[in-house]
Amino acid sequence: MSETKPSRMKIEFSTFGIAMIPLMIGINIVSSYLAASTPVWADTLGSMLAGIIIGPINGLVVGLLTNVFKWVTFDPFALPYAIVNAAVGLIAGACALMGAVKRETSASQVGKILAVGVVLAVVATLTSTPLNVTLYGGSTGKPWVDAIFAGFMAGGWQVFPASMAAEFISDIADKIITFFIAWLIYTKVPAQFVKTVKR
Amino acid sequence: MSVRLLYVPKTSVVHRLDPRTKAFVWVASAIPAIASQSILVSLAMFLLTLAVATVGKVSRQYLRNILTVVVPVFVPIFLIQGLFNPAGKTPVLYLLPWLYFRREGIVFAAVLMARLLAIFGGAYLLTLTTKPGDLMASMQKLGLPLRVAYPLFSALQIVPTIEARLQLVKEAQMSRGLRLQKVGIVQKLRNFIPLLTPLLLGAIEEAYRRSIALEARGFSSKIKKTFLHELKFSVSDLTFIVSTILSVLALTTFATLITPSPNPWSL
Repeated sequence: MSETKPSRMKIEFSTFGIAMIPLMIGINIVSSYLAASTPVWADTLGSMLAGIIIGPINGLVVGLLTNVFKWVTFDPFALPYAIVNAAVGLIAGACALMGAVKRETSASQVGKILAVGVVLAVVATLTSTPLNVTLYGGSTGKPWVDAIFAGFMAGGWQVFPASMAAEFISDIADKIITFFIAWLIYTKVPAQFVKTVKR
Repeated sequence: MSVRLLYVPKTSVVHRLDPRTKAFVWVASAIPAIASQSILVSLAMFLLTLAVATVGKVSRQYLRNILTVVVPVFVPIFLIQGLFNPAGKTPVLYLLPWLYFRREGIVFAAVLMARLLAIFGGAYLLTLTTKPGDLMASMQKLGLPLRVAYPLFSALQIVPTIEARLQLVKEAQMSRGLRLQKVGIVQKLRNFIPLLTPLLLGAIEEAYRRSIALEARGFSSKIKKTFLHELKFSVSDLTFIVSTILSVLALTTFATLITPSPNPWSL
């Protein structure tokens, strides 16, 4: 291998990067199982980790293919939301690339992680609200979120703002917690492993 | 809760068909279902895929998948569309003075359900009777780059193994004293770390091994690749495609004809 740094696409679409994709899809799927009966979805954990460990484009592909996979196997509603999952993987990876995700556990680092969580919640809300509104009349499929949505509707809000507000309330919890978990897991990955990836 | 291993190994006419033929059956039956507003057309397309699944000896698994995957989502569709669809005007059934089922919403829900049946029926027909490897090879023949085809189709095999590995990690951590049952939400979220960290490390290791195995088979080589099992269109594929086109046309026409006019299911 030459001394120059390999290009972004070379890293993300190395054979190793490609081989990681189906495994991270699996992590996305099992983490959403683990999150059953908690208020979070956690179905983007694998996309976030792929974004952090390998890179934004890889995170995007993991997010996209996770929902395609869910769609063909067990969740008929997952396909349109591929955009949301892909956007989360992309932005998580981009934030990591800009140096917001370090392996140290300091107070400022925790602050950065929470900030990225908020950014991801905004991204997820902006991408999923139009889908919720056009496909399912604004409902999200998670009972407690739909209850908030119904509450806003009863308060005289229009469908779009009501759906967006309910979605944001749920996403801000989901994305901050999920990204925090992703970062904690990342800090536990031995440095040797990460070097192997970034080579 | 777990992802079903989809492929059912059996010997039948449908199993022997080229995956592209089955993909064609799926697309050909999904198009009228999506394009038409008539429930009858969608149901006819669903019955067509069911008939092909019966010929392929997978009707039991087909119906089980439809019942366990597609039918459960009917409940929220019906409730949400019936109660809250903005097009809804005519009250049908009052639950509360301000909460009632509306005719237009129920109609929309019914059209959506029939469509889902047709679309998922075709998808299950394809995945139940086709080996994931053959599916991947056929998609490559249709021009999907290997770098996209590999992650998608290998996920069909890898995800069940990851689920099995999660079970192992759970048992291992429980033997070290991790509490998994009857815990609150906070502990549940904390459990992510001890459960998923080993899974991720294993995944990185496995990806490393797999990348070596892939490279040993010339994954990133630019040379045109050959296949272990060469897929070929046979006479039975051609017969199947022609009869699919004919039956889709016949069923669509018939279902459209017997749909009362004005169509009570149009929006």
